[in-house]
Amino acid sequence: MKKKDRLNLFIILLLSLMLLVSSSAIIIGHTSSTTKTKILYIYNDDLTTANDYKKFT
Amino acid sequence: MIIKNLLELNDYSVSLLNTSSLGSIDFSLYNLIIIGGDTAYSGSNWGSNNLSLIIQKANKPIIGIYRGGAVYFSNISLYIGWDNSWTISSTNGTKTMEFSSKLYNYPYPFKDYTKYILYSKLVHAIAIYNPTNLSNMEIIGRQLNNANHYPIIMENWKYLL
Repeated sequence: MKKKDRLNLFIILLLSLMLLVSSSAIIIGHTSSTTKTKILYIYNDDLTTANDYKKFT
Repeated sequence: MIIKNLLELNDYSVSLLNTSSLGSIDFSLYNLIIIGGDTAYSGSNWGSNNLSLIIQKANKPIIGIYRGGAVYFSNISLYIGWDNSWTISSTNGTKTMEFSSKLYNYPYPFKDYTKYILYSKLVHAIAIYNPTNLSNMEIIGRQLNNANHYPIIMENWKYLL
């Protein structure tokens, strides 16, 4: 995945997080917050092969 | 892991969990769950329905990525799942997506947002067929040159593919 694609993906993720965690007291973007938004990332590398979806993990 | 690194660089705390350990996790510790794209490679092998329900019962917002996310959402009977999708790939020649959401008008209008292209080259993605724009859907990214398929779409303001 190239740098530009990573940036696009990152923008989407940030947008998603802002939408989905909007009820949180944390103000997205204020890194001085003492409480970080906690994310659980579920994966299954047993299924990760050389196929294209590996790009998304 | 690209996504984990990107999030942590921006001050999010990310914990990794293999699907084999789902039964032992305390979901209340987390604000958000991401279903990795590698948790499925076809429409039928995300895991048992029981595992899917364990996650859903945590009542957390969920981002589903690519095949794994789409299959998971089908497992919990959401519309934005594998059963209502197709795969964008080189085989159908679709290369980019267009924005298509009222979100781009809040708090201020993002003028002419439909002319902007999110991806300028081939991407692999799962796009949801949503021809009637169901009322509980928020359509965020639309497949380029296709009026009915959405690679970025949210259901019930809680589940996002």
